[in-house]
Amino acid sequence: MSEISIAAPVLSTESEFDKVALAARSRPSPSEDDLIKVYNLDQLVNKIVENDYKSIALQFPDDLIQDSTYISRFLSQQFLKLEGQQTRNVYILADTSYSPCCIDEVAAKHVNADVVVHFGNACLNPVRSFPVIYVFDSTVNVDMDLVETKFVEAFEEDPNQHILLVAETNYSIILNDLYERVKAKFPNCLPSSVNALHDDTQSDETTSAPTASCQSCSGSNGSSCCNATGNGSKDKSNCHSCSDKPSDTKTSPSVYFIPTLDIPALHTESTFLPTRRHPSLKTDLSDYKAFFITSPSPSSSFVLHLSTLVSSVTLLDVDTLKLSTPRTTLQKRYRYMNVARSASTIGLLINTLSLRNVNEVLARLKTWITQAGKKHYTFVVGKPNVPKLANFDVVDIWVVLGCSMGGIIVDCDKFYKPIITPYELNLALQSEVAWTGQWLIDFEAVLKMSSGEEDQVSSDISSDDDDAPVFDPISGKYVSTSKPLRRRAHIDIERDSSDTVNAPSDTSNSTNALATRLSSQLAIRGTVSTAAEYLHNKTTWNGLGSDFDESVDSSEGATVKEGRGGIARGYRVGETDRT
Amino acid sequence: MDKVTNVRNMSVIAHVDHGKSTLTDSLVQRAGIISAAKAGEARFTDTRKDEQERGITIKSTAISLYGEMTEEDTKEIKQKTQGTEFLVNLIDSPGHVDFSSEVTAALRVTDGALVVVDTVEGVCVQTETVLRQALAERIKPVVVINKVDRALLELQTTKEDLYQSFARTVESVNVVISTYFDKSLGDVQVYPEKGTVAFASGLHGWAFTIRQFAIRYSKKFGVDREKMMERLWGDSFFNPKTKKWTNKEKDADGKVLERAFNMFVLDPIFKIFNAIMNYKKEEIPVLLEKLEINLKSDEKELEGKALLKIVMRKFLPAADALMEMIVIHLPSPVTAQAYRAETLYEGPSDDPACLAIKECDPKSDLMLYVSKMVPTSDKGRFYAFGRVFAGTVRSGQKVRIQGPNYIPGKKDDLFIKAIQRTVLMMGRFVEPIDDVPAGNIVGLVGVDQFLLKSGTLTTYENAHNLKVMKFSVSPVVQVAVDVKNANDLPKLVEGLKRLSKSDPCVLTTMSESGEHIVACTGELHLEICLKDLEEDHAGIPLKISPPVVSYRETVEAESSMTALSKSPNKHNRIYVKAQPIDEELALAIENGTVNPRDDFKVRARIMADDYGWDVTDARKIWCFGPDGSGANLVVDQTKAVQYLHEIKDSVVAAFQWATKEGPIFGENMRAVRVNILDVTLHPDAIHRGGGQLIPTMRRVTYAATLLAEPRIQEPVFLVEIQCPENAIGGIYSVLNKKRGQVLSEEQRPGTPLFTVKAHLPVNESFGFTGELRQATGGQAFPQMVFDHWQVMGGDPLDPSSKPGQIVADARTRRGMKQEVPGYEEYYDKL
Repeated sequence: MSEISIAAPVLSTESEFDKVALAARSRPSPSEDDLIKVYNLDQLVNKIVENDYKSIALQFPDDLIQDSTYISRFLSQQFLKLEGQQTRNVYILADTSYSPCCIDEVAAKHVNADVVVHFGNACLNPVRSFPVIYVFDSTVNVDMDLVETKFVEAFEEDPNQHILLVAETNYSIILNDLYERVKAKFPNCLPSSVNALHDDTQSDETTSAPTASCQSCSGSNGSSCCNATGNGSKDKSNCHSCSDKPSDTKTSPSVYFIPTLDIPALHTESTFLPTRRHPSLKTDLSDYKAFFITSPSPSSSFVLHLSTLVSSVTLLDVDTLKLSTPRTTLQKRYRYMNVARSASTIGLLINTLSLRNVNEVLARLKTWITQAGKKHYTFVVGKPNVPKLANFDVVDIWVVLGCSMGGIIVDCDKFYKPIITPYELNLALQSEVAWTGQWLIDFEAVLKMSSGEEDQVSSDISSDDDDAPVFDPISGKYVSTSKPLRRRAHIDIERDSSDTVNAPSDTSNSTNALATRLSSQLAIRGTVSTAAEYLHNKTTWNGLGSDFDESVDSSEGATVKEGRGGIARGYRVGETDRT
Repeated sequence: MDKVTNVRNMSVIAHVDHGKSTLTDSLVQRAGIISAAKAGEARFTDTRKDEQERGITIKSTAISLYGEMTEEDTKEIKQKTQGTEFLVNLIDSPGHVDFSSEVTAALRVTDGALVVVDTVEGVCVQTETVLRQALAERIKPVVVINKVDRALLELQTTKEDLYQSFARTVESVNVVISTYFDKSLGDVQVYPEKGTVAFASGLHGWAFTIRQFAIRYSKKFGVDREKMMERLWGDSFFNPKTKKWTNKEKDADGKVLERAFNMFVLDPIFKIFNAIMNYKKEEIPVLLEKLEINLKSDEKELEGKALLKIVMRKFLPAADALMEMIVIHLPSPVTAQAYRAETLYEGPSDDPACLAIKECDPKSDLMLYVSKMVPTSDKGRFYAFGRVFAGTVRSGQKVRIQGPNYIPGKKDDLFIKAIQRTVLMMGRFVEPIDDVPAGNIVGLVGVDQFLLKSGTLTTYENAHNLKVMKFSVSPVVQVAVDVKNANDLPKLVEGLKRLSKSDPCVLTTMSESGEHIVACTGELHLEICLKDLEEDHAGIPLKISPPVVSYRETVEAESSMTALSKSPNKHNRIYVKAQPIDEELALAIENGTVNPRDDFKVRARIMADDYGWDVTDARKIWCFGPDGSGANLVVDQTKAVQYLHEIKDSVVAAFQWATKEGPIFGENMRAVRVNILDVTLHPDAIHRGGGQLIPTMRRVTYAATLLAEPRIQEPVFLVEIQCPENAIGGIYSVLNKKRGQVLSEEQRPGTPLFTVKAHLPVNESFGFTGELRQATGGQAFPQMVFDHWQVMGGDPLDPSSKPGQIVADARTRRGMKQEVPGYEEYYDKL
């Protein structure tokens, strides 16, 4: 900072944003006319008109927000031009609450949007209730010759090795191009595609890059797909959505891509990620090497996940065209999983509101945790950051429920307590340590997992060793607090046998203490509270007056004087100031 | 066992290969557990297969022996006794430095120590270490000078030379003892003329004390036995002509007189050796008759060493001499606990538990210390091995099991459980027993799953813990282990748990990058631990990384300017400076002299008196770190800061975190003192919560450290090498290559052996033994023990320096950015 930065006055908050680097676009911003081409805005207009969406929400990630005003203006003008009057409202959703790759359902609902148009890189996770149009940069400004050289450079030592081409959704458009260029030299190279249900009616359209098509991803019944007919001209295309009836969209909302991301010439059958597909493989997926075309900051969770599936990953940064190999931090995740094994209190951190299955996963996690005898608290803190999470120091480990692309915090060195995924939590709650090298980030997969403890609960509770400490391989010590709820059985018994004064469930005549001390745990209203216990046992500061020592401060207190009153906007001090 | 006054708890301690286990055999043999013929070879207390194969003791082993003394002997005992029956609970301990922790665990449960010293090699590094440990635990030592047969047979010394060598050994033992003099223990130096030194040959099974000879001669000379004992040692001569005792070397005529010890004690032994080994058949019967030794007819047929063994064993049975020394000179639990109680107990010395320990009262509440875990035949289960200090322990008894982190009044690390069974440990066997009263050593079944390595068992609700043992060695050599087959992972984790239970010192942890780490004291320890892990505890094939060393991060100077960090919301500021802590104080914290659990006023007094701290500062220590006990301190030097006590918890939490993973390469910090100079806090409690302050305190600690000439410390071994003169050149060249620094080089008087002492960085010690053997033709064998942390010269932030290289390598290995971030990363401008 230069010398203009002065000490922030107390209570000001502006300096908090000091450190946020400007979301600089790495490539020069396209001119306004280019934008129409880049985002295929004509297509977008057509699609909106066609489906008759009245209220349109445009969602931008931070690095594209600069284009937002132009686009919204352009859209409004187009609507006016086409229909003669302003019947459609265009809204800009910026500053998404969780991850910019996800559809911000909550914000869209605030404006009663009929459709969300998502620009930029997307995670394509299923959305609960909105039709979505994903708009990608269709004229990715890359020197394909250079990309090809880089590819060759990375794999030239053995042209016969198995290579899988993967790209961020934003760059999927160039995958096919690359594939066409290298397939002769690398016979075992395969492209992947974004997982939208495929229909190969437009197989003749491989020549021009910005093709218009739309795809439905109503996963349940593949028959209800749409036909995209590109008529050759670049600015005109017709799209039919298969189901634009509101009743239908409830269950399987329509999803469109502009431009299409399919690689039409190939049968992309099997899915290897929930949002990606690839043609049938010649050998096991784990023998493939992945070539991943990304933006300068790829989603670390996605890269980690990808690296567990294939034998090696090579990243190509589109902007700088540099090759790199990601650091695999899977072994670190193993450590965090072990932290969870001996944790007593687990914080469930909700880092999304729009993902399908969040509620189911949350409910499932809660059952697992309770069965394992641990305590959980649920948190929604908006975008998680270090100070927010460090406020809850009773939490031993966080489990983040978030988008697999942008909602999982993989690199949590800076955080006071580590953050894991539901999949890792499931492993941690198993009675035996397991770590297979798999790393799932998909909720569906987590829901399919069983809790290892289920069958144990009944047998364990009666045995004498149920409160035996567990060995914590991280510190190499015994930890006795890993299962605070395990002793519930004892607590219940002791509560019954204890006299009525101590029973918290009693009616009004019972003790008015907020917290009740049971045999070994602190309980509030009959629930074991590790947080209350933590405050009681671990902290030296227990609130105002806790440091009052009668023997020291035995003198008479000072006489009470009237201080200032009023609200922060203007305090009144003393009688005289009152009007 | 119920007569506690007639119990002796003792451990056998010594340098490696000085003959502890062999000597123990003679005692075991006396109790009739093994046959006389096997004694000296069976090494009954080496229960493991690898112990037998390698010929070294790895685990300490306990055995209870019963013995009877004569009326006359018991009269000599200067403490309360009843009758003539005695129970000796003996623990044989390993001698190799790597296993010193086993010795510590053994010393804790015993009151006396039998220190074994090799006649030829004398007092070695480990002899000194274990003696020091024993005295710190207030254990009374007696000395056995072993392998006298070697001196006679191999070195062919003269009587006077032998006497001189004995005298020197006794002298050097006493030097060590007086260095660690403890007032409450009294004078525990050893004197041959008082019977606290024995001379023995464990292999041949014979031993004697001056007292035994004194008994023989007191009748003959008609002198009082005690007087006789004094005359048989030291500068005391007998003039056969005048039949007078004198303390002059020469008689009136200037003729050289023979020392009484040589004349009366050594002479008969030399004669026997001479006669038998030189096959002077005719002399032998005469001699035997004179010494009243009766041989059986078949024994008479023997000759050479076999005959020598029989004769000497009949003449001077080892067990008698040792038993006599143990029973007469070592304290009973009643005597010992009176002065040991206060060093054993963490709580106040007037509390009922402490008083009960002092009196060794079997009827009071139970106080029992579990010092180690002994594997049972049932895989994965252990006997908890310990000592009853007060009360009586019985099968089925419900006790409070308090782990090492238990704090009275809190619930952490506390279990209330029943003891399933109590047993007596007898070498490789156990004997069930109903109850065990105070003062005895016991094995417990059914508490192993609640304690990892050690702990306190009590029935008294307000009891504090018995003090946790401090080991003289640190686990500084580590390897990462991993399974070859992912499915074996649960077995590895279970195996690591068992491994860390079965050894008092080994540490099994996980590195920041998620590898399982096994940390040991030295290469031999590591080898044994990994072998146990692979073959026994886990039972699966393992991938083992090459050994690495753990480092420490420290500072050399005070921070060049006040470090400031602002909280994320910018409303709170912490101003601190870092400065180094003196090495003496850091050591005192590490060995528990200065302890976070002590009363702060007492601690402040010690720090002010012994370490030159300002009393006000010393009283305002907020915490130790890492883990609440390490040698880094936060000192509050603020003046009149409002709400300061509210943020203490956050500061403490952050400091633990910061000192656990230092700024340079994520190693523990050491000997860093962080002074909080000023704090600005937001007036609303919500804006100065942990979320704002924990990250800030961590940042400011890093900034202050990086501003205070950060350095890294590496562990250094003390190496002792005994070798003949011609090997010294080889030793020097290897040491030079390995950054070793020679401290001293001495010839042991009377022997051709040289002792070289040197400091050697642990990092360079891998493969040192092998190279040394190569360079010296197998003549030099080093003993290496962790000695201290040494600051490495050079700036670790500069990648071209040696420490910078280590830092860079470690950072890459751990997946951190290669560059160490500068202080600017953590420093906020005002």
